[in-house]
Amino acid sequence: MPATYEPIATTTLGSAAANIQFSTIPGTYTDLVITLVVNTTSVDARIVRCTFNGDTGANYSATRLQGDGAVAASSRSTGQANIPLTLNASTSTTIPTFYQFNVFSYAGSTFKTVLAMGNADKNGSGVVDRTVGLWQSTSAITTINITPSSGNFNTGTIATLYGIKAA
Amino acid sequence: MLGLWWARLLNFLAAVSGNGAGGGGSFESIATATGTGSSGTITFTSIPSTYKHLQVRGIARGGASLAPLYFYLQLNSVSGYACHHLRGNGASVDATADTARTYAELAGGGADSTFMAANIMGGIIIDIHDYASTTKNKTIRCLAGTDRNGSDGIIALSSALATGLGTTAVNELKLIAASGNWTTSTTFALYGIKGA
Repeated sequence: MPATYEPIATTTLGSAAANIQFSTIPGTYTDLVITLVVNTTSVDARIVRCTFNGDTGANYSATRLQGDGAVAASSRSTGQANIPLTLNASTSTTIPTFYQFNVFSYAGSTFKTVLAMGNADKNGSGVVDRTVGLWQSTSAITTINITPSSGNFNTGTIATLYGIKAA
Repeated sequence: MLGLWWARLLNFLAAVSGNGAGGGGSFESIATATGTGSSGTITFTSIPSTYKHLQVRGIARGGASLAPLYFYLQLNSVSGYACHHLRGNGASVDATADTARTYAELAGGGADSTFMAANIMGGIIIDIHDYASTTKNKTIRCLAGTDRNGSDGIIALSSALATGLGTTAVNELKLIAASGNWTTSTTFALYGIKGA
């Protein structure tokens, strides 16, 4: 029986990088799942963002639900050049932030919906974040770019792309 | 020596066919169902009891205008559910709870086909752990959301307890649009997750 949930590619950074890209993604799965374990090169407010197929036009949007240990909040981004996977998750050079995002029917003919989870706890600050994102394109996704809003992903950052195949 | 050679050949053939060690996986696709445009219910029946957990993944677009967006889940055609939700609509957060519901009401999924632009779909992930247990009640977990590049998007976490099901194993699962019909672009896939 072929695997239903299988890894397609993994990137582990041996040096700092401004971008992680998965390309030539086969259209043979139903959904994609990307897991990220992220450190950045400096401590600052960081937003991890994704784009598809090199599209950096104002074709993305998101609705977020976030708790930072003190306040629960919801916000939205419209007409953006990317999907922010979380908002103001202050990252760390030593404590990783964990993200997982699901891209549904990535090879289908409707707009692409993303469900993302961002999780960070730094023993005094942190965030838990759930986001729904939209890419207003009916094109199949063949490339995913993941970037921090500023600075670089640090050495040791790991990103894995999985494919899930429905019956 | 000859016996060892045949044993290795049989193990290799079993691995290639997927019926032995090295074939298949822990996360398996059970069935997929697509909306017809003329029904608000999608049903998975005869769910085998051989897995440890179930997961439903889908994109959905439903009927008439409803805000906040939600849809229903029903197990084994029984009524009686208690639910809790944590929802964000892009401007505010709310937390709600319901008891004695006919269906499990799950927030966030199912784009509104009369209110949202064509091709916008809700994303849904539902988990039911230990669904085949005959000694435990069943808890449903859902992460779902719909964004429409404007107001009235929603991202939501829901949990539900199937009070009417008791400790009966789950063998049927229905996904029901809160209003109207699931569109033909709606697709749900049911997966089984094996234990060790």
